[in-house]
Amino acid sequence: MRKSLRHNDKPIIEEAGPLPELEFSFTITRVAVAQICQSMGFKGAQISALEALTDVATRYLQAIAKLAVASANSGGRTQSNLPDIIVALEDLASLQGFPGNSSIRSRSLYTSAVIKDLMKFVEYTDEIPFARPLPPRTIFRQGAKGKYLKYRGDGDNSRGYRDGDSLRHVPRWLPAVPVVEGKEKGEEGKREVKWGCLDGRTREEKEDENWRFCDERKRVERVVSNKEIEISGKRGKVRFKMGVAIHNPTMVGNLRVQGLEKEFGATDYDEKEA
Amino acid sequence: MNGQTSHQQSKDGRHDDDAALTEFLASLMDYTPTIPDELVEHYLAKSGFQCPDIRLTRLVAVATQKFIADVATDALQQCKARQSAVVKDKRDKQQKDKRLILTMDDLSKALREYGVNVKHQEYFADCPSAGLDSASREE
Repeated sequence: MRKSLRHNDKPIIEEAGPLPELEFSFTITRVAVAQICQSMGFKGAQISALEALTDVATRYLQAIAKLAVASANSGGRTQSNLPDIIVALEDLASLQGFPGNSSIRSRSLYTSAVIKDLMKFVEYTDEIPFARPLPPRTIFRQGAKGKYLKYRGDGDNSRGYRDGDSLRHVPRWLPAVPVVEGKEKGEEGKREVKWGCLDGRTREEKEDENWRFCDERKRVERVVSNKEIEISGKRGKVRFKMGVAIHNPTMVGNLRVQGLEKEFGATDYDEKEA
Repeated sequence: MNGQTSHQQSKDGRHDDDAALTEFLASLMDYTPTIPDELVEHYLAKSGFQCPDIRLTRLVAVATQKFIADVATDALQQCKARQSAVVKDKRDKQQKDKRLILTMDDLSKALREYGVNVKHQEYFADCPSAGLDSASREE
């Protein structure tokens, strides 16, 4: 039994021509089609004839898909189900014709002769497993974790749903949903920054003011409501040094220049606030 | 009355058909189609087919397999008919029987029944080596 040499060799991917992915899937389909022909009794095939038949097979697959999708969409659904596929198969088989196609009364899709033919085919035809194990998916998808094609005979529906960690229907370029903990952490960090320069500040003083000044930082942070920030524990007295022009935000940097005691600074500030 | 009984009958019949169909889909998981699941999923996804149910992908794969098998059967019949038409010595015929090759002619005749027109250039007249190897057809 001799087959055309290409079937037993590894797929040859040419440099120039269609996309490597297109070529790849076409080559795999060609192997499958060649196996089917061999099981029918062919001993060999012309390369052009085999490629033409492979092309027909890919178009048939895509035609089934398109018709099933159209049928589902016209029913207001995005996902196809069994009746959609039967409608697609009937459409494609209507060219050759099948018993029941000409019936005027609406017939049930489940009793369609197309499905019955398929059942007989599955019953009477031996299995022809694919010749070679398929390579992992990493060849054409960068960054994705690949896995070998494993045959799962248990009808695991989730295989078409999950793909490793991510769900198949979620595009890969979408960022993951941010964890809520990170937000709180950020806020806490912010609070720490705010309070890091205000050691020993008492609570009542804090409640009086809306503005917080920090020696180390040049920014002024504003607290909208005092409820957000709460200090735990009592803090000691705070010493901060203020310059002359205290209400001018650009002169905050001069806070270090003059040395004023806290009481004096507080009263000064209170005056200016009022 | 008649309508009611027929309606009931059709209901029972539908139930049987449903059961047969679910049984068939379950049996599909035991049957491995020649076309791998991943390949089928690739082509289905390319055309916008969305279905998390793997049994339906198997169904599509089996349907395609059946289609290709039918085309191959028709081409085989064409090939055999051609061989029986050309009867020379007994030795020649036996040799040809051993080498059933899928040719473009047989395939185009078989595919015509299915509505696919595959026309093949008879020869190329561009360069001197044209026509020596008909398999090297450029698309």
